[in-house]
Amino acid sequence: MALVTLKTSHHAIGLACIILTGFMLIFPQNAQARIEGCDNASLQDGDKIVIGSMNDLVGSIGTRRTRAMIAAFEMKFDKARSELHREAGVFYCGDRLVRESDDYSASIVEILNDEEVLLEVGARAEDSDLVITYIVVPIRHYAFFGGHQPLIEGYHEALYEKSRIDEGLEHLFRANAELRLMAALALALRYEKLAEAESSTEDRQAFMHRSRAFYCDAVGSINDAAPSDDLLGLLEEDWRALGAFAEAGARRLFQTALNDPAYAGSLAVVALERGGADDSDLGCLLTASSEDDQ
Amino acid sequence: MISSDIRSTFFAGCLAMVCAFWPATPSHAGAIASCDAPFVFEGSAANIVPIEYLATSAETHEREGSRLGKIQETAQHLAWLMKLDSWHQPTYGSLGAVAHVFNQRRCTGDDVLMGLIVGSDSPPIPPGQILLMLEGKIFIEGEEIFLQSRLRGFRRNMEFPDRRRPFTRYMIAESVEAALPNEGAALAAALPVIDVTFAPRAITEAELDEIDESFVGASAIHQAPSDESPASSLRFGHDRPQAFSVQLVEGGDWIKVAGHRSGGPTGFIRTNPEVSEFLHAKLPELDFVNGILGFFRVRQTMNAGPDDPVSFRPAPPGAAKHARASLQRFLDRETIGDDDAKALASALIGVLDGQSGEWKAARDAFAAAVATAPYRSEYRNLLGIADAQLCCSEGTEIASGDPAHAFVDAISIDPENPTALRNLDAFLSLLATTGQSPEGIDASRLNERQGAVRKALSGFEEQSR
Repeated sequence: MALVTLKTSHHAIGLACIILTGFMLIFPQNAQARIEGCDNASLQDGDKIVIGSMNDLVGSIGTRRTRAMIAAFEMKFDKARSELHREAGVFYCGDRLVRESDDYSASIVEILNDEEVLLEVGARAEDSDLVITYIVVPIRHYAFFGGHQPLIEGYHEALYEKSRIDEGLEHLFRANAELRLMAALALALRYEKLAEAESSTEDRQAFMHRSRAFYCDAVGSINDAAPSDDLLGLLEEDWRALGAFAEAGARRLFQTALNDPAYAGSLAVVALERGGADDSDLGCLLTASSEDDQ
Repeated sequence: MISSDIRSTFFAGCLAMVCAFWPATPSHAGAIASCDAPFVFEGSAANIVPIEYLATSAETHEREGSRLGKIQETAQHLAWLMKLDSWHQPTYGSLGAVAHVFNQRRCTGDDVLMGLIVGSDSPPIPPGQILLMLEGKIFIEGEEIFLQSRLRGFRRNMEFPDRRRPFTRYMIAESVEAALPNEGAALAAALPVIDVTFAPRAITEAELDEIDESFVGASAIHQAPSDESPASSLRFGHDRPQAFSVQLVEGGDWIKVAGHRSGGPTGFIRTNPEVSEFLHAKLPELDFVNGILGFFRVRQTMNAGPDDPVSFRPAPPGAAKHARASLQRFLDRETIGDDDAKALASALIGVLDGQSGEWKAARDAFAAAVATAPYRSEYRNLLGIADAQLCCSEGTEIASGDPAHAFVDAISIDPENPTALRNLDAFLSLLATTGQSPEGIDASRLNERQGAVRKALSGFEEQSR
């Protein structure tokens, strides 16, 4: 079953197309495909984080724990959204089933990417753990399928112990920043692709700058998203892959800017002040100046 | 088409007329309003608006109707306590506190905020007035209540209200300006918009009862401003919404309560900041709220001018000190997951220190903000400003970093940042003009460096045309 379906109808499809075309011409911002399992009327344009159904958890962890889990999730998302300056809307899709990695094929992910979905989040129970799944749509679309980078799947899992729900939901996801890391990476890659496709020098430069800022935000979230000593949170190899992707992205953007003959932005100043454009100069912060601040 | 300036002037004129004919309001006021008819006191220098916290979507499919009812009743009770709490804290001289509760429908913070900006049960909030809005999510499981608060705060600018525009259009863009030593150019830094979501907190029902009893005890309404005067208690009642206005009397030791609109309690309450201690220990964001309130009051007073369409009572002399203490209390409380708020609190302390010329203390506070949130460019820019004040003044021997490092890091993590670029330009110009090369400051290749900075700046100027 496809995860995403376009709004189609066998009946009177011709008439529907005419009406839809007219509607899109009048209200282009309202033209959107439907995301299965979501209240599509409430979906807004722009970047989105979609939270899938938690209904499957009810059978394995019970109604009370599932309820606490949803509340903890919502509070965590509100916080991450605030930290990302509300760049993305969060939508709860109570009937949307979030599946395994294999279900997120190139074609499915392409549709989600076109729908401006940044992240899709789900949860399932597994023995004594809760498994939170994250599909970082731009990474899976552009890097894994489009860029053939097998080290970064764009599908990641984080483990949490069921028993921690009973310790109070304020502890369930505390001090774990994998959500912010992945949302920042998704935004960074989205703006990088916008920059690549942009012909206007000024707009390209602005997209590059935004992309660099989000890559640097992701770099700043890496440590907080580290797996805990008891191996909860992200899998170690996923965490390393995401961290490497953030670091590489920030450097790549910097290098791309310097290689662009039309670029006249502030990263050129950074390169000059740092005395070069070697790999060590392209990072978000220079170690020396960071140490000065402590 | 009417230009923005003309509309702003027209708006300011209209507001001045509204205010001229509106009844004089007390220096400190409190009420409960329905969230679908938002209301604040238009004559107060600042208003705090706690909104009934919203149940999470975990309750969407809840079949036990009484469960949601209990959650929202608790949320109303908390909004009431937050309002009482604001009376017992330093009030900075002129404060309205209006708890907004759900009536016929549940409201979001956005609904209430837009109602206050365009005008609803009270006129549109006037230019210069401070608004702090506290909203959030609530969840109850067994005996435990979980809360997550979001604070939005700003001073209203002159922009004409229009529902289609984002809220940030109506906020004064808070910034810091400091002239370089030796009559150099002004350096500037934008401060982040105050929109903070805090980490979730847990509080038990027994603790809530204890807090409630403390406030009931501390908020007894006396017939006269005297402890010996007969008193009655002021209690929260879900079915008895009480609306009243209050006024500071006896040098702020007492507040005078008067029934608002349709009756209500009347008398005097002795203020007692200590009553808030337990509530603030459970909800440290309330210290943050008080610090932000003081911070805005200081800036409101500092920026007041004779041409302002509405003039507000100035903040009392100790406002900066109280604001700093509240922000420091928030920093001292042990919380996890509040790094963004803690970095902001440190930065605002630094701004208050810098305003009073205490640049060494300001530098320490900005460095603390940078250490807490290393990837926020605003704090690196502020650190550069403090470094520039310390490094290059005649006779200064205070160790500081090279301001250029801080400005360059700010640009590196947020390249779309002309403010840090302008600061770097001004600092390099200072070095070039004075010919100074203080210890630890890189004064080499100044022509080349200035050329690169100005080229990038001209790009921004082209963009903004």
